[in-house]
Amino acid sequence: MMSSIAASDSAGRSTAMDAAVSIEQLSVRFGDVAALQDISLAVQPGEFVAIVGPSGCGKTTLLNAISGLLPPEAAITGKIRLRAGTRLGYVFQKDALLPWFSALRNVEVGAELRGVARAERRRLALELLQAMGLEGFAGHYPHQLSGGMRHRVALARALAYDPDVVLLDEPFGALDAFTRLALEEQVLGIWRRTGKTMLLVTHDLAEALSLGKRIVVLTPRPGRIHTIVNVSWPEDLSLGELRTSEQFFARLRELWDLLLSLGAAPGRAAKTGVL
Amino acid sequence: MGAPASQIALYRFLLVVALLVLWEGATGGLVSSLVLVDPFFISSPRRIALDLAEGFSRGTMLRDTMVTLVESIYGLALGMTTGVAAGLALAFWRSLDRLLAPFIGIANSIPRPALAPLAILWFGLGIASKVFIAWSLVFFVTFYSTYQGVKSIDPDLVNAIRVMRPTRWQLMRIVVLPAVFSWVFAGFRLSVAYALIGAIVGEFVGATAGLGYQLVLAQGLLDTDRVFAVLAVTGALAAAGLAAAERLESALLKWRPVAQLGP
Repeated sequence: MMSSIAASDSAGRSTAMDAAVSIEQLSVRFGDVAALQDISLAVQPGEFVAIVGPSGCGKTTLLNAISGLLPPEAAITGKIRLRAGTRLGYVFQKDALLPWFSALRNVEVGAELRGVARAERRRLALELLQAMGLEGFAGHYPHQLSGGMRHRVALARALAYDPDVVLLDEPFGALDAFTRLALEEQVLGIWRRTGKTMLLVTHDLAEALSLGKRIVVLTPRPGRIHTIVNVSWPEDLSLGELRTSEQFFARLRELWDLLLSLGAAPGRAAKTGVL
Repeated sequence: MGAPASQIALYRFLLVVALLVLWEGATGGLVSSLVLVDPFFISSPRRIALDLAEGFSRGTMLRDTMVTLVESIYGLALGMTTGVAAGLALAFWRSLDRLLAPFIGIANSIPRPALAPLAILWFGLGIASKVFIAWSLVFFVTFYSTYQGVKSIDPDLVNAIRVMRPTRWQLMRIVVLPAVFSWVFAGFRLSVAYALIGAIVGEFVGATAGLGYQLVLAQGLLDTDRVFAVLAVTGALAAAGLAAAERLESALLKWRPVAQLGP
């Protein structure tokens, strides 16, 4: 567990047929700008993969490519394969809740789009809101909820769709540290209980290290896979305990050093800028 | 939050009473030797009240009010439905939008009184021509709101739903239509006012009934009492329509946060 960071390039390139998400030599360009270059990655069912890299390295582009949300002007080469009938959940940094629907109705939308019958939708949505600790807020509109609550509703909506693969794009980036920890705890709990495949994009190395079982480190633009880091922690630790442990700090430091060695760690991206 | 609603209502009432007393006084209604303005020009509250009483007791005032009300409601309903439909069509159908956009702008800038004689030629002296004028005002307000509503939908909301593979109809029902309706109903009060204006403008030009028709008659006879009486009824109709619109609006848009700007 205290082993140094294990770089496994081959693990990323093996594209097993049974992978939940299989990406082969994916490159994405926007006009003259190469966003992603030669990305190959196989995510196994039930895996929790975190993707980190300097700002602007194409992390979000990767998730958008997987979900088919890239704009028409993006030039895509390579292959992305999802298993047949895969349902995708996507949780954005912005909660993207429908402002005209109550929290309950927002969650119901997830179930509705999966084809769940009306009566069952309501029951499921209430259950999910309750699991998120929001049972008293079902009738509230998004603007009446705090940022943390809105993100919980967004998470509940994604779960109501019962996705096989959950894409998380810096989902808690805009929240305060305590709310964030609580939500990370919740996501980890959901992952452990449901065994859904999770892909988390984050600029927060501690978040990546405490949630991801594999951490994909991307280079500055154009984003290429620099390293894939395997992580495992004792299951019985809470996130709070883990985050304050010596072993966690040691690995966090290794990860930081790795990103710094790329020349553009988060917050240091503008090395060649006028300043 | 300022004064409570009941207090505001009281002040409003006092303001109206003060205005009426001033008006009555200036026209010699309180002290008969003191006439500042001849009531021939501005009538007086008492004379207007008498004229209203007479008009309603003979039944003509109510009949004309109903005619104008019906014309406005038809114009409003037709204008809003066709406006939403046209707005959606142009917002989604780009080539149609590019083809028609300049013509729509021009059509909307035609002054409605200029259109009214044609409307009467086409649709006759009855209510249809007034409905047409009212429609021609409401349609454009609704059309532009709908168009703007579609164009300003947050792409993140669309993406969040699109990931879950909605059908076209589901995407319309969950995202597009609620976004559009919030814009359309934000302009609902304006539409109500326009519908009334359209109906009355139509009646001005040629009609056999309605508040606008009454106005033209009274104007021809230099009957200032009647002019003010009809204006009072028009005002009351507008106030009732706007109050109803406001209620509907706040019921439909209660999901919207309201910014607190200043005291």
